[in-house]
Amino acid sequence: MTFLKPVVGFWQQYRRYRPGYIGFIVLVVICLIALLAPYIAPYRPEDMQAELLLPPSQGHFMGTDYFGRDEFSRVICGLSTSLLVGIGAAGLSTLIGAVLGAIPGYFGGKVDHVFSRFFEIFMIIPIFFLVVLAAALFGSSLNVVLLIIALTSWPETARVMRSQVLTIKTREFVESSILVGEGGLYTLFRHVVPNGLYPVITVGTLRIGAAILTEAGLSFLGLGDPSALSLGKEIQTGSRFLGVAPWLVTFPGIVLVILVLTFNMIGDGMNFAFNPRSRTR
Amino acid sequence: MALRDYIFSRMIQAIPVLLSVIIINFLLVHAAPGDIATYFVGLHSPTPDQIAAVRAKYGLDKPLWIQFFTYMESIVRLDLGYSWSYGAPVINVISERIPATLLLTSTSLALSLVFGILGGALTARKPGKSIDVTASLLLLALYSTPVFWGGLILMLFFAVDLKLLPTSGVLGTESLVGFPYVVDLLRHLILPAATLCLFYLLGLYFRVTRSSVVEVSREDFVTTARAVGYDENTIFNKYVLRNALLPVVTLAGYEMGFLFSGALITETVFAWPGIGRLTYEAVLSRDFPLLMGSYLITSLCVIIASLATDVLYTLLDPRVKLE
Repeated sequence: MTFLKPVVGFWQQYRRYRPGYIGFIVLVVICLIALLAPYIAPYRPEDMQAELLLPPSQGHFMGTDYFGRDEFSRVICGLSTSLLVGIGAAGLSTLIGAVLGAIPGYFGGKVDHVFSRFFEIFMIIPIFFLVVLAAALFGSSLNVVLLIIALTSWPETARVMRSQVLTIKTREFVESSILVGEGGLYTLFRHVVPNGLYPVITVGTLRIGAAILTEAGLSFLGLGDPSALSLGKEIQTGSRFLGVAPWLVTFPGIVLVILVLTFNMIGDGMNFAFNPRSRTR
Repeated sequence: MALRDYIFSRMIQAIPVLLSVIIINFLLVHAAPGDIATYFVGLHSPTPDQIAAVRAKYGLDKPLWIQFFTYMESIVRLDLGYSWSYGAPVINVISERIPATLLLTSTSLALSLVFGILGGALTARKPGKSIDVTASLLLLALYSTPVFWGGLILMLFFAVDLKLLPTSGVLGTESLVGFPYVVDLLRHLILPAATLCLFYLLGLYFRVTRSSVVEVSREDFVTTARAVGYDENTIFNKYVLRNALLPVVTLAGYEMGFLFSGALITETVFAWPGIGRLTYEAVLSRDFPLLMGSYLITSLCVIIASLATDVLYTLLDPRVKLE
């Protein structure tokens, strides 16, 4: 079981950072709730079975909405949308960013120059406007939303990967790999990239929170998947009854904050475990 | 190099950014499903004449690269198309909305800089103490809060429950002039500006100021000043803080796109009549010329704003060599 050793070592460092440890436990609970939501939910999320706009009570933990649907059931069933889009978009964007950042970092010169200018452009332009335009043009199924978020959020990861590769490629084991005759791209992805992945994983974890916020923002603007339950959409419809039924805005929002906070705390914990310098702050 | 030449060279560097925004706009519309012409004339049963007119104008039957140059040419002439939901040229509709957005973004940027720097500097003097830990947890929570929800909660509390401030819009119903007008405008500005500051920018400047102050405090010249016998407050105010602020200003230049993105959602929540709210309305009515135009103009605003911060930075820091 030697491959488990770095994982165990990581975990021992990671759990020393209290917020990261709490975040991990909360995430496990949230994932369980999201997975078991159809069984936990007291009502089906689309059932109009109660009176309209009931305040929170024993039977309706988070009140009911304008159609008499149970808000609690809708919120916990909406969790999986946020999780899927968040984790999926962040994963894809990390993959793209790692590849596109490794290449200019390794080959340097003109390639690096062109790539760097490209990242710079992405850093400057208002990304969310682009996301909104793309979502409006391409329709908004969950897959499209996920893809749009991934394709617009990779430059940050690419920047981190690039600087990692820049420092690692000068190490001796890289030179020896080249000397024994292994090709450039092979060396890059077999030896250089795996050794520089830690900060990229940390950025990727923080990306999950950001992607969840972007998805919620799109849903709030009415650009989410119309057939999927989403916390952002719940808040948007709830906001029309802000004066009479504030619970329709308050509860989905609190759940959303907890969800994003969880991933941010885990990201900080990873930074703590991977990066010895951050421990002596 | 003189400052004028520097500004000029930075403007030259901004051209590829603007060009890529135009290319992205162009490619997105062409990659989108359906007939391109319908994106320009509207999706509500356009007449064949309208479609033919748009096809002729943008040369939609010609090869792609000719279409691109036709598109470029019309943009250079400031012709961003016709907004069919407003029944007016896109450029006119958008330019009316620019002042409101600039008022909102600059106010919240100023608020965030002031409070972020104050807070960051304050907590950095006592790293690891309870005030520092509390502040960083609070910031993490603010940072994890969706800006639209934060705005709604502020609205719920200050406008719906306490009835202290108006919920939305930019001006009250009665027509005011002079001082009462300014007061009314400010009352409407408070909630959106506070939302954009609290849930978007504040944490960023707070964190950067804090880590920058901590870093500068460890430098040799601080130790020297201490050895000479200056008291701690003088060292901090005169040497540490001044040097620590420079990265904060640079960051402000890079975060303009982020700031305007936040304005899109904030303006939507508070019905603040800026470009962001306009974009939301364009989304609702699927007014694509308007949507593309507002993306383009916002990018232009962002580019100009980051240029301005760069210039400001060189004025603030005499050490910066103009390259």
